[in-house]
Amino acid sequence: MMKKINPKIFMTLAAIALTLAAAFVLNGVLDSYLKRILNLCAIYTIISLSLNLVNGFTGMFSLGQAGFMAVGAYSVAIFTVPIELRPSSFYLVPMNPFLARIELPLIAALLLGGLFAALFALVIGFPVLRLRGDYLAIATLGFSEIIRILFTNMQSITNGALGIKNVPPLSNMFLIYLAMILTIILLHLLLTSSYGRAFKAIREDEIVAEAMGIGLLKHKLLSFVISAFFAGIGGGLYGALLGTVDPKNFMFTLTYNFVLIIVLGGLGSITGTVIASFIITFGMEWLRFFDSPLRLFGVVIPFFQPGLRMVVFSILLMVLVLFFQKGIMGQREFSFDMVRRLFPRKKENAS
Amino acid sequence: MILRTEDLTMQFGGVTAVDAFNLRVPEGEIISIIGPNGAGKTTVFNMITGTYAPTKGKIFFGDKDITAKNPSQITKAGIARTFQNIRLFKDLTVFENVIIAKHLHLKSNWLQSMFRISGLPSWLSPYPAEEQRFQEETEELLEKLELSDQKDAVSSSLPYGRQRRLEIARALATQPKLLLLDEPAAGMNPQETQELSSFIERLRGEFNLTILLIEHHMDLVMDISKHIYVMEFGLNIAEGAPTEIQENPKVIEAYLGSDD
Ligand SMILES: Nc1ncnc2c1ncn2[C@@H]1O[C@H](COP(=O)(O)OP(=O)(O)OP(=O)(O)O)[C@@H](O)[C@H]1O
Ligand SMILES: [Mg+2]
Repeated sequence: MMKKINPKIFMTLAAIALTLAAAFVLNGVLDSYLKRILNLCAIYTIISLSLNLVNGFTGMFSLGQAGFMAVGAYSVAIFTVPIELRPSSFYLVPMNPFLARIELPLIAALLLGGLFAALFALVIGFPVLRLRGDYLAIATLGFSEIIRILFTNMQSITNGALGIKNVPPLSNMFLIYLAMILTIILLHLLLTSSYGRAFKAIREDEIVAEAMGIGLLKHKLLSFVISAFFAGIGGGLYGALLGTVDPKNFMFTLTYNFVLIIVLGGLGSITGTVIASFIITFGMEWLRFFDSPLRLFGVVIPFFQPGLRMVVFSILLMVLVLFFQKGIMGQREFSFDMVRRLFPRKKENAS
Repeated sequence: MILRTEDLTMQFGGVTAVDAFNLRVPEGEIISIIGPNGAGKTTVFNMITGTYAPTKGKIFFGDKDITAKNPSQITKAGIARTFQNIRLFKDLTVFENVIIAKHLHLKSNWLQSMFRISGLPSWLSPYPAEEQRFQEETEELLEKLELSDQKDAVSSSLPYGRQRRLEIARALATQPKLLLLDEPAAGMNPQETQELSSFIERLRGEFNLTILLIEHHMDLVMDISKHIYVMEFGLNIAEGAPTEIQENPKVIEAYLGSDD
């Protein structure tokens, strides 16, 4: 019983298979530096998508991604470090005896991190999202700082400022790209459902959305909690990629990367977010050049010092907001039809 | 009575926008509220739909007290509205504008909506059947309101009159019992206004509606209303059948303005 497959679905499945195959092959071929950047691209995609769900598709304004990432990363660090290696991190204060006995596989720790992040989002979102106006930005910014300070001080659980070492390093591109593709598929399914339409209605005009029977609190909370879940998963992968998790990795400035990505890619575009994640992640690597001292003809150019990268970065963000508000994709999605329209005369392969 | 208000009052700071308004809307009729600018008409709508919580007074829909319930609950109960200044989802298509208003009837939860598999029996995957029904109902509604030919157009690209009609289509998609129309003829020429009058009559019959109308165009109001309430400065200065209202000296004064 062969049903005729919709060519669009076929193309999409082919693209997914191709991506995974490429990740699998490149994983064995590339040097560890390049692999690390490509893995970071995929992880940044997951986290940026989670932010875009709230900011781009639902029209709220959250700045909490670094906090939710921290929750996910710590969940991975606490539960996946092999029990016998834990004392080498927790040498000042021993690990909480209950936690010290639990070791989980990465997948379980990731999901747990996502669920914890979602729980935090529920607790923040419930009071804040009842208010009209953009209190969410302030609350989430506050949350991501509070969570970091909390993690700095919960010595027996997080090992405080020293961080947790020996997180089993994750460098398998296939797994990370699989996580990215699953995130894309799940968010696509959500956003193309009636709930996704409700989110967009709230983005367009929340008063009208409510007048059409869409409960604001319920739908905003749903979007925010799902977003936190994926940010938690992304944070867990990030922690595993780093191999060491400490509070300084999760300064709220980390969130700005994702804001830049979704603005560049297009608020309300999944494919735009993917494209922008790769551009920004590679861009940030190349911008490292600004952070190291520069000598020209024996003269030290004064501005090239650590921190300049962030200045350049901020200027880029401003330029983007001023001159390029819709980003690469606006609210549209990349589609195979679009490619076809770009090359109108090209004959399609009959194979 | 499908809708009834008791001493409905709204104060903004020192301004009493609506003062002890008693409205009675019998089921199946077209009832109008008229009055000069700033009389408080839209404020009455905003209280009925839950946008504003009244300072005083009560609102009953059927025999349910719906005072100060939130707007989405009130729409779910069966009251839909249009806005005085057209408020479409501007960047979305005509079709999307209407189907969004079906969401309140969705029974599937978000997980069932995400993990939808068409072809399965509906107790395993209820969403596809619901989505299919929404799509069909939306198509049908657009057909009835003669908007099908532009269903994939971005809503803000429609001509003005069609935008008004789309806004009504969107309100109808919630399947209301009571429809509130806030100046549907605003910005229309006499011929369009004429057509609107028969259009509203048609809607009432076809969708089993009760209609509460705010309007400035007297011809339209006199033509289709069963009963008219006249407001001025928040007060309900007169009410009655169209012929009574036309002859009421208070109304004539309110509209022509007293010389002072
Ligand atoms: N949110 C608000 N805050 C303060 N004052 C308001 C508010 N909404 C309405 N008002 C005031 O209440 C009064 C009644 O306004 P409303 O919009 O109900 O009048 P209207 O009868 O609909 O007039 P129009 O024919 O111009 O639409 C006006 O004086 C208006 O300024
Ligand atoms: Mg008004």
